Amino acid sequence: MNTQRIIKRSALGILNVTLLVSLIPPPSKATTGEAELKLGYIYLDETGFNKQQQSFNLYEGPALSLENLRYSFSNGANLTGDFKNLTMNNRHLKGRLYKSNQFGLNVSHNKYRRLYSNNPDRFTRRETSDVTFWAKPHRYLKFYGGLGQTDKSGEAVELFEPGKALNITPVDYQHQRYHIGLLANERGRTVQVEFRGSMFDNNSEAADQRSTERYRAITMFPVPRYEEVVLNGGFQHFKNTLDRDGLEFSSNSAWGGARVYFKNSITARYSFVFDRAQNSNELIATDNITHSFGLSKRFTKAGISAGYRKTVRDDIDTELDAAGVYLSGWAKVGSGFTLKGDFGSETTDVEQGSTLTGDKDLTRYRGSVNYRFRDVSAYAKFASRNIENTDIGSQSDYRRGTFGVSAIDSVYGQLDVSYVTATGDYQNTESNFEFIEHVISGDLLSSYYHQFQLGIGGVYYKSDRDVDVESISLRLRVNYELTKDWRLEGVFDGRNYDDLQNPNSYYTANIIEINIVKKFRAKED
Amino acid sequence: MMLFEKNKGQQGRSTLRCSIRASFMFGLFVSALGFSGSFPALANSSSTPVVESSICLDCHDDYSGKLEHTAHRDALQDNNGLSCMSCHSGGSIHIEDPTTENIINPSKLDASKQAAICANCHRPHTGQDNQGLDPHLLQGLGCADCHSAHKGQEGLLSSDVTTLCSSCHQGALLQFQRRSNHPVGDGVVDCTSCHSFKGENEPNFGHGNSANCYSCHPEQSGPHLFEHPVSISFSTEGEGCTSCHFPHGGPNERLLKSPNNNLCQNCHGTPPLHRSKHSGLGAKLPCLDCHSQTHGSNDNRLMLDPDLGTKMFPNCYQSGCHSLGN
Repeated sequence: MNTQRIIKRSALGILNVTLLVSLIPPPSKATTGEAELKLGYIYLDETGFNKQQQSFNLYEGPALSLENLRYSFSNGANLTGDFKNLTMNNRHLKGRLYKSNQFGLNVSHNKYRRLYSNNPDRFTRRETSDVTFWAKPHRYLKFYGGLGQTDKSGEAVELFEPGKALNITPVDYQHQRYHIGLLANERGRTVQVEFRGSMFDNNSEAADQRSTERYRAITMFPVPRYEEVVLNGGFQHFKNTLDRDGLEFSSNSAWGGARVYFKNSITARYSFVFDRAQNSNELIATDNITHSFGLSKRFTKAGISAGYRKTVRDDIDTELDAAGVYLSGWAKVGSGFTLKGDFGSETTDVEQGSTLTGDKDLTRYRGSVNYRFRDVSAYAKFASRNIENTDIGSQSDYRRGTFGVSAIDSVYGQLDVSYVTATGDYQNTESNFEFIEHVISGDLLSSYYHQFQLGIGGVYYKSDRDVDVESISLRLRVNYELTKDWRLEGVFDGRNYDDLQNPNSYYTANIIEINIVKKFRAKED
Repeated sequence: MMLFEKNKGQQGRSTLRCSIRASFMFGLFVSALGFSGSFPALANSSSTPVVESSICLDCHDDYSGKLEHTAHRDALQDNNGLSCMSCHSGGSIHIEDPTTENIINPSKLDASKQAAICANCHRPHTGQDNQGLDPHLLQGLGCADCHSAHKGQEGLLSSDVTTLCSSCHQGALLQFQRRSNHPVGDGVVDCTSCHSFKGENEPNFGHGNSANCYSCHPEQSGPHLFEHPVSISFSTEGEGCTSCHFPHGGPNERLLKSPNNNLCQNCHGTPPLHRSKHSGLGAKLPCLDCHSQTHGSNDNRLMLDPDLGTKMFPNCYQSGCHSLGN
């Protein structure tokens, strides 16, 4: 058995090496390319607990990375790659080999750690690997597919802790994904068929093994001799099975629509969706039927769109009817201003039976002003969303304002500054929750001056009212060009987090990263 | 139809590893064929453009380096039906009188005209969810607002995905700075992890609005013997995951829209039985302490924690409500 395994692995290894060698072109052919090899050390000085921080995915120690790999072979194939922290547990690797209009192969691998509590020994680690490929044996034909797997293991902590005791949940599962499809496309005429599936193995809960399958076919094409009319449609069958009991959720969806391009840049649209979903544990299915209409008109420097959508959701016992409208427009004004705005509203009524939440009204509107002059831009935006369930006295209001400016100067460098404030108010008959948030972020990066480049940036976050959280991060960067191909990088990242309602939840970190970078260039013969 | 025989883990995983390896080898095999030129050439590969690209490069020699590492590299040598003239029509007049007025520059055209030129080779962004629409195009954004035809990253994007999207969607980017958020800052996910532009690369494996979430969070996807209707996209009671969670980031833990009991009370209020002392809120406990199976339960209709008896206080005195006295 061992001998057979050795022979099999040797054969596969030889085959892999042979194929890899076949990728290397003969020395007489010219190639061009570049890449950066980065070797460095990350130093972490932390106090407190970082369960709310993204730094829980940082590790102290040496780090090796190969970044911005771009390699072009003389026969038109390209190799790209970004391989960050190859030597560490938070590695993030992406590679791609492709030849335009012929084939492509994408490979990625990522490891990510997450903390759930103030105990740094309680964490989960997620490891994800994906391979996708595509090939075009003909200009109008493309087939594609891929495989992927995610392994997650460790210990998570439940959000709320009964009896004030830490409730630890072991996590150990594998999630495998695969898909394959065929796409035919010729100048706007498209036919696509696809199969997609997954398997979920939960080693912590054997009864939780699940699998999914999805079959889909879609098409889009202009009507022959009436090219201004474009039709589209599709069908999908989806099934999710809980292996233990054979419990199955399935759905069948069909959709279609048409677009008509009239003269004077007017476009009309109609689409429908019909979906029937059912859980095998229950005898009734739920139908979701949607019809939507839209009209848009484009001017030289402006555009306007309006639409109406009608949705029926029916599971025999209960029927919901929703009707919504939207209106949006944009305009370029003067010599650099762009104005945009949109409004949407939807009302959902319980026509038959009853639901827990009753009728619902949703209203949303947004507006923005952008200004751009050469390499300077500024913007101001506003968004608001209101949802009301009047039958149960529940209401949520969310508003957000965003302001910012950015500038790029070839001599001095680039600057980005932005500020966003958001308020939320969630009310019901029992309790209220309100918050107001402020986020200020800025980043200034200078151009190189006497081989030096400096950067400073940071983010300030404050959340108030029923939440009292403050978070600051400051980032300083120094790059020094030793020679044309060698560079020294230094980064200081200071962080502070305080949950003022929970004195035990605080975090301070000083993170220093020092790298030496070597730029490689392939010379063209 | 199952591509792999599912055999309680080990065999299935072994089969999958072989399949991943086979897929990789297939890709290498395809690559080798590509290098040897065994695939059939594209149509029009032998047709000669009105003005050959080499003439354009006599003046615009800097584009040789820019295009070298891009998918439009074939234009440098008029291969596979692609040349400078494929996008920049008007070249025959331009070489006689080289001005910017007598040649088409797609990036200077309005959005729909840009899309028409690119659509000669590329499918427009009309995924199934858009049902034939491109919302960016409706807002007057053209291909050149995100793509750079002569240079750029994967997909000829003018910068990385997060930087590009946040140049307009600044509010969304800043939501990732909130108290709990998806790890965009770490580079683990980016906008296209959830927002798909092309049908064949859609990440979602589920159904309805929550399909994207289940790609990375399959442990919550169900099906369950007893569903929590609000978490199901198709039900008459809810909209799926975003009924309770902010998708980008939120002011509470686990991206929840509101904390503790407020979220549950938005729909459930306080059930009458829970006002008594020895149950639920009468005992001053958060809803989730008992009803922890919020995404669905295989044990009971009330979503109660299956280990409730052992997790809760083993006796009345440890609850803090009753004491033995001094």
